[in-house]
Amino acid sequence: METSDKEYVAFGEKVKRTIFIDNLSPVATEAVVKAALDQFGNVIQVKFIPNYLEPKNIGQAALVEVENADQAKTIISELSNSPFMICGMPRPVRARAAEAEMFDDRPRKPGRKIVCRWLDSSDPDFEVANKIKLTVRKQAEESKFLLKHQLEEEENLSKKQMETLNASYKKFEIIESVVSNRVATRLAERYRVRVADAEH
Amino acid sequence: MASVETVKVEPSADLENEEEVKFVWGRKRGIGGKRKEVQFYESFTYDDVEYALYDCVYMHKEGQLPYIGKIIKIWENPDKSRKIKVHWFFRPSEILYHLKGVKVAVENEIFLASGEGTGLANVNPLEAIAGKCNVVCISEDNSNPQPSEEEVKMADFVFYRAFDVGKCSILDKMDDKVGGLDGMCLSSLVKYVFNRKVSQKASHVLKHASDQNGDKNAVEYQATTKESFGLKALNDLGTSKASHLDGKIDVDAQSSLVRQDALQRETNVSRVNKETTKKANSAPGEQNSHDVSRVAKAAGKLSHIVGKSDVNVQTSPVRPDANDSRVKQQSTMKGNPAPVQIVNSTATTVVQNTISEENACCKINNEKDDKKVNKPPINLVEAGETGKSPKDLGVLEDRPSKRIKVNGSVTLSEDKGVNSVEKSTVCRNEKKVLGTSAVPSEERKKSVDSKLSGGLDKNMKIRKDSAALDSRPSKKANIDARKVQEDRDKSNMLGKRADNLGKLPKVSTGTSPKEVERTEGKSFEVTRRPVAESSKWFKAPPWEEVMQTANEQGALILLENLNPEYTSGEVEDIIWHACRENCTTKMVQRTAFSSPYSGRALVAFKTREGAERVTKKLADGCLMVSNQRPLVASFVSLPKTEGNPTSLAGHLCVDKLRLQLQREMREAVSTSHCSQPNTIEYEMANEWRLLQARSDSWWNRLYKQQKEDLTKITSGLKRK
Repeated sequence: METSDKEYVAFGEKVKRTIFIDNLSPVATEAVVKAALDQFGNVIQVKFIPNYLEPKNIGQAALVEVENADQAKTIISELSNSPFMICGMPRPVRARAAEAEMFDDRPRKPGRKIVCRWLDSSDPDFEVANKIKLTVRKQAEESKFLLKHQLEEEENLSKKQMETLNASYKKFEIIESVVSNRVATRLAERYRVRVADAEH
Repeated sequence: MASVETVKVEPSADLENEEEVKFVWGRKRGIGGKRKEVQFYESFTYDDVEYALYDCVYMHKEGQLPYIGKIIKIWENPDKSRKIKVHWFFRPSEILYHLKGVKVAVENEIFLASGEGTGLANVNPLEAIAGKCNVVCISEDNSNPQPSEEEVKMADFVFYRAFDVGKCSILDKMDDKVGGLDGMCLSSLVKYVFNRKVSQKASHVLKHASDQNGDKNAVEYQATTKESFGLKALNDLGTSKASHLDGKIDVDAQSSLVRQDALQRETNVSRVNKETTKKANSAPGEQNSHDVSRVAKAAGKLSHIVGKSDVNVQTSPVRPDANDSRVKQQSTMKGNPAPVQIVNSTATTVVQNTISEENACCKINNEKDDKKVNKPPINLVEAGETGKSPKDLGVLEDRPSKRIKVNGSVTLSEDKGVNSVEKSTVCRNEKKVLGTSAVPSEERKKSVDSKLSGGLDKNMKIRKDSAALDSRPSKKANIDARKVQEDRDKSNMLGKRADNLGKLPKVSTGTSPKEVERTEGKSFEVTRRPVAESSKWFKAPPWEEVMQTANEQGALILLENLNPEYTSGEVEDIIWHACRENCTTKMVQRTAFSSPYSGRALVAFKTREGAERVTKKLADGCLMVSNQRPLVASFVSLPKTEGNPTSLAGHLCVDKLRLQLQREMREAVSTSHCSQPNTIEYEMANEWRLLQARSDSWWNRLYKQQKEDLTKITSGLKRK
């Protein structure tokens, strides 16, 4: 189907008012994301980007289309300024402007001509082309490696935070129990120390 | 004038003896206060640096870059406490939020506070001064003596705009409303906002016994706005592009030092000379005592800090000690001399904290590491991350070289506020990767039942080529070999022949088929595919189905090095025109870490043979798309989903509360919220953002590097 220029422009508009969100929990659904972002603006639709090739634990990504480009910008800047969490903490989601290549239903660029050429081994460019192919493969491997590394880092951070969290929680429990069973107050009386009433 | 009392200053500035910081009052100005008990001054000398009214100074801020302010009042209270009133400047990083859409003119631009409200000016103890600062006004107002180009270059900061603290907006013109103090009028503007024509400091060097006790509190800066901005700056650490102060080189530092000294008029001229030369000489020496490369970066700021340092010739480590005593004075909350413990972080003194620009905060008190500037914001430490190893400031110089370097020592270099991957860990991981995967690939090698005999030859050829091409250590070759293995193994899938499921091209057009002759070496244009007649009767099944079926059959191919802008339909057309095969394609959508120039597509064929044919063709020959991109095709099998993960790394919950959480989940409560700043959760969230930012930067650099590599090779193509 030939896309007219008008359609293409319309698509461009759509891209401008769409936000790309990732670091989403696997349990997040479209409804959840919509509800979450409705605070900021009018969400028209939410579409998840399917992940066929990458490892499964990188978090989901979604394209969220809102009413207009300004809302999109606002949301992106809000989410950049303060951490926003959907369906789990403390890992915040990340938002950025969408790009055309993120959409799977994008129209063709009008007026684009693709020209192809077969090269055989006698062609002078054959060697170089092969080199390119090799490099592309190599780079794909590098990307995979980096992704793996990133995931490892994330796991590490998660573990560390888990420890911290548990430690803090233990402390909190101790304090709470001490306060609640009045041991703290009795000790305070004994040592003549003032115990502030920490009412949060 | 005040009586002259000489105080013997101990040459070996002991760390505990903070009283030794020299202080001398300058010229008196007048008496004030309700009972005429307050003495105003025009100038003073603090730690051998002379300050006068309307000078710009750095003010200590614990754990952060120092604030910049202009002294507008100096006085001494009857209890001998010395105060100054400071009119603030804002760095861009402090008001990032309000700078949206505003372009920062030069990298060292700052904004004068104006208007009414908190954040305009504050009273501070004089001891909170961290050094002198050279701020030049480049406003084009008529009453502003225009600075020379030299002066502007040499300045630490420039300003010509103001930031209204009440309205939180940028004012482009310096009007009379700047600052609500002293009944601002144009003359006052001239007096203290614009550049002064003559530095009117007539200081008298008087040795004056200074009581260094009293409240040596940190900057008591009330404005909560600044706090929150500071935090915001923290958040935007990784992402902010408002980088200012790339370091000036040592040469500049020295020359600005000299120049500064020239401005200061001391009665004792010889002393000036001695100071100057000493500073100039000692500057490099002192700098060398810290991380060399970092110093080179920030020498511009360094000059001012050096300017105020203890000039006692006899003291050995001159600057660090003096500044450590300063650290203790200003940064402790108590009035007592701080324990030596703080000073242990000598490498990360206040001075250096002011140097490291990109950190919105550096830890003075809490940090245990020496010699390394700490990237993570202060809240990390408060979360008790003592075990965290310091993150190197260095930037990953060369992405592929991460595989080569084994040592973890990273020299600090130009950074853009980004943590680098610790090279040692990277290499360790990489080794692990190689190690563990070597074994399975060995096994797989044995069980290779390659159907593509031709492909096998090709792979061998490729491997040989890679060995030849790669001048890098064998690690790379191994990786290539591994990749090649994987390709072969993927093609190893024993697929059954499936009947034609009548998969139809997605794009059904009514255009008349254009037959294009394809001859070797000739280029052809890719247009719409001819549509099979039966397309009108069947509806195309959804891609997911198609993909899964092809996957099982082993008829799924991954195409790489496509122009990412192509759509799925265009790729199908390409395949058809090139290989006369019908297929269904889906361009892989771009995500946060997809390559921005090499698009990928999943191509599903009806039959495995079709897939094989195409792959073979594309592997043996070269299909150049748009004369620039040879297509790379490989069999691919989708990674098995061993049950979807139920949670994302980083989503934590306390075990005890897990039951509650499950209930929430069951009730399908959409739990989303913005985090509040004074919670643990907030701090942790910031850690995640930091990691996200770091990851982003890794990807950016990787892709940049890859793009360069590719363009280099592509330029070798003759036919463009």
